[in-house]
Amino acid sequence: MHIALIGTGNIGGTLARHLSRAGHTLILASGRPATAMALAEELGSDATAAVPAQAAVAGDAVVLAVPGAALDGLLDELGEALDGRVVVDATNPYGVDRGLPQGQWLQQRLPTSRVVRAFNTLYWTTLRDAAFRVGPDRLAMVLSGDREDARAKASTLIDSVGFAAVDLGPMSGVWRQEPDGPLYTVEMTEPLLRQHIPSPQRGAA
Amino acid sequence: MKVTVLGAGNMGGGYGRLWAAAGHEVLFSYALDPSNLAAAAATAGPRASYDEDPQRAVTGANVVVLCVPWQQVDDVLTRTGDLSGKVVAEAISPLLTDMSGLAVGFDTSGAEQLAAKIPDARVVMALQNTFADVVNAPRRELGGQTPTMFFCGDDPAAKTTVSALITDAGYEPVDAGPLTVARYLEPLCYFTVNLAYTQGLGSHIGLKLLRS
Repeated sequence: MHIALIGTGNIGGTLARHLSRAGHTLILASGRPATAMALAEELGSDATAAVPAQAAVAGDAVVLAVPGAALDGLLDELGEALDGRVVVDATNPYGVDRGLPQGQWLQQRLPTSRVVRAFNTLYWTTLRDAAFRVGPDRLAMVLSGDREDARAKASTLIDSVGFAAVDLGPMSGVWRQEPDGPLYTVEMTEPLLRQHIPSPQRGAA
Repeated sequence: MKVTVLGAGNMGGGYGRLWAAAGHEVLFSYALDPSNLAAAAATAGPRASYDEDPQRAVTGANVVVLCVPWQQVDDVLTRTGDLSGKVVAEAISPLLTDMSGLAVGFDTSGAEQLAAKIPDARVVMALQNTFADVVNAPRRELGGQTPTMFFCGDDPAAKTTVSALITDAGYEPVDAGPLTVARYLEPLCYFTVNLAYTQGLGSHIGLKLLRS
């Protein structure tokens, strides 16, 4: 796939390397343009650097991997560029209280975008070191979103870098994978995790 | 997952064996006699190993399981060093030294007292209302039914992790709520001990939650 990636730090940089290894074509953007350029150089001919506004409209999907505190500024900067796009949100709202789970907040903030919450639940070192496992040793990675087609794209991306995609369904249940949620940072194989997925309704047994 | 089991007695050794059989990487540490660690690892099979250094043993663990006697809690926490951010499952009944009753009362619990010593860890109280004889039996079922294992804690993701280990040990996990519920769970565990040994029902007993 052609993937735009905004943010090239611990998560973004790791994802870029994995997605490149998996054979995807990448458009990389960063708050620090030199970092995006150096990373594109490192990854070779299937990766190019761009500014965020260009990355936002490029490719089959755009992955957001900026620091949580930088997300609002980025969304302001991008304006309508994310309209109608598949947006994979890998950021986490550290130090920011949105009043509702970030996945829901972002979907409301970008009403015409097809937002998927994915790649946000694992420590970046686990994302780095546990990728490209084969078979039953694959770690599960959860995703949530209201659009089935967008979830399918995110699942494909997750599988391509060697994690087992576990689709949690609509954004109303995304609280389970947000920080402080029961699936945040959980590292286990898919069959085991599937036995322990809480109900999407908060407070239900 | 990477599971570090501190304490290699009947409980720690037994659970470690079950988790290794379920596919987890188990590391035993903390024993008065180091040869017990080697024995536990050998019994638990190829996915198990041991490390005589508890501080090193907890590094990199997804979950640390405390299976030591209540009287050893301070010592094991000193030996493990910093547990900040770690999921810590504690399987420790706070018994009096002569096991004649609980050492803590109803407005607190062993779990809460332990958690207060490691405030940055994510403590889950679990694995207590069971007997080592059942843990070490070929199967966990009693009378053909899977026993319930109640657990409690304040961190949702830590509880998911421990719930998975309970399942992989062959029990039915039931989330009993926040860590303060240990005030009721620890007496429940001792109640079961009383049934087994004072009432003479023996140790191949357990409890199951029924619901319609």
